[in-house]
Amino acid sequence: MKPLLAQPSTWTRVAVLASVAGLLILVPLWGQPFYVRLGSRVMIYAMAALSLDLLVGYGGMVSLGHAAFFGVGAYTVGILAYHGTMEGLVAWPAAMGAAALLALPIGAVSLRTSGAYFIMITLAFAQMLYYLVFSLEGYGGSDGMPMASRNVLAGGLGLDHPAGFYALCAVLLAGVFAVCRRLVRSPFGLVVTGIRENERRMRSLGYATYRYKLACFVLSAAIAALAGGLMANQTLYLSPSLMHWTQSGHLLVMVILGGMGTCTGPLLGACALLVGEEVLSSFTEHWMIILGPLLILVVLFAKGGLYGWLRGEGRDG
Amino acid sequence: MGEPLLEVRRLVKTFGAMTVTASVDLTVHPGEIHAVIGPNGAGKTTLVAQIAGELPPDSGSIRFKGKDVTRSPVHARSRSGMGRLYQLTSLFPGFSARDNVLLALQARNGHCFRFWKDARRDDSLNARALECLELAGLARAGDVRAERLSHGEQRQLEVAMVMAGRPRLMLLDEPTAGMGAEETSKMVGLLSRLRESHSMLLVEHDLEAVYALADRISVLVYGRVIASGGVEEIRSDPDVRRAYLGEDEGES
Repeated sequence: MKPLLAQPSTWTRVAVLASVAGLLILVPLWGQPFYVRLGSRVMIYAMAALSLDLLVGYGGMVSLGHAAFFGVGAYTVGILAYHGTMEGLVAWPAAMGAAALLALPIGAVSLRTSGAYFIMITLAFAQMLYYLVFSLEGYGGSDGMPMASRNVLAGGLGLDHPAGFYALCAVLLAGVFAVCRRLVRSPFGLVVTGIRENERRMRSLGYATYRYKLACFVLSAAIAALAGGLMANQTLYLSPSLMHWTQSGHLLVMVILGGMGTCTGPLLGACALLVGEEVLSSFTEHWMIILGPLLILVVLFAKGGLYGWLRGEGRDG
Repeated sequence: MGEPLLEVRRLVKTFGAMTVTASVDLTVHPGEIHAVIGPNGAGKTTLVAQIAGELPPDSGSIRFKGKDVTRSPVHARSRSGMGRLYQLTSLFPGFSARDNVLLALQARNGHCFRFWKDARRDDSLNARALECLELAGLARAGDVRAERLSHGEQRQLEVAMVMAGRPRLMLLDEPTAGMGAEETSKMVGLLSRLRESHSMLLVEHDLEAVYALADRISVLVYGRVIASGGVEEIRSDPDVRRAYLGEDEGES
């Protein structure tokens, strides 16, 4: 009889997932442009938050500079478009590659430190890139620059239709989610999580920990850049504010709100924060006054974030 | 007796004006348990740290399996067959007991830049992890998070992790530190089950444990080996009793 007792929770989870998936499908069919745009924005931020969680939640490396790679992705896609390369299958991998190339030296230096110093040094690097973009007069400088049109896919498929772009975001997010889930369960993922738990012990077991942390940093930057590239397509506008450190903070809040060290958590966090902002800002322009205390409550009373609370982790610690 | 597994010759280490290791000679033969005892501050942990490679000695040599390893780094010695148990518990608290052992096993497989395979579904690793847990008496605790185990069980788990590395020589730094009588006797039982297949250098405070396990004992006082020999020899050595055992034994 025991397995029967275990069934309902599985069914509940399936039902919850199915209704979320159903809702995701219904939004574009419903066709209200505002909600379709909000939906794709949520998914793009969810992808960025998930990439940050690989670093913060799994690797234990708290970065306040993640928006830099998000912005690098957006600018790579935008600058390629400016010079006539509209093919997404070229532009998006290029964005990921550019961010990875940049993350390699930034990570190599930053990972010499840890804890509060790591937070500060990633913040410093991100602000350097922010001011670098600020001074790129050829690409809009401090004003930013519009992107003429969205990328095309495989030569002909346009992404101008909101529902089409929405579907693309959904497919890419699902792909990234599946990859991350596998990654954190792989030998590599186990090593990275072990470093978070006890780095000194990992070294004495014979692991060269620095290399694994650097690989995690680069990988996470590349995924953030893919999200950034989609963001450029979403808003059709490149602005230095994409790389501002408050943007990094925004992503960090999504991760913590949703649940660090889980793959589902950041998705929930992005969804809750962005939808929450929309709802609250329709009541009052001082919505931060309500959202702030709510965040404090979550951090104080639901340490596993929204996802941890859903799973009932609060009760059995 | 053949060539020793570990051979320490005239090892010297000073911190400023203080000599913590004063020309120590020490050998561990294959299959042997060699215990090092001594009062607090005798330099036992410093000695183990030099043998494991965490501290460079000022002079002297350390040979392991016939090779000079005096200058080789920690991970190289660890890979060539030295398994270390720390004095202070050092685990991965949020991981299950099995995952703790799995990490120790993975470390023996060369690099871990494998991104796609499921680490917990590797049958040969799992079987080996279970075997180590069983040997350490934790067969049923595999799914329990390490932070939820009792102190004694955490030490057993550490022994399982040391075994996972299939060491030729186990360097045990006070395996019964902080344990009650019952936990201590469990640990002694565990180590004596392992003695058939492992050589050990055992640094220990608990004399009952040492007498139960050791083949040979060296007594370290102020960084110097003042006596070395079999259990009975050490028990009755007058110098040793004066320097170290005197009050404890209550016979003098």
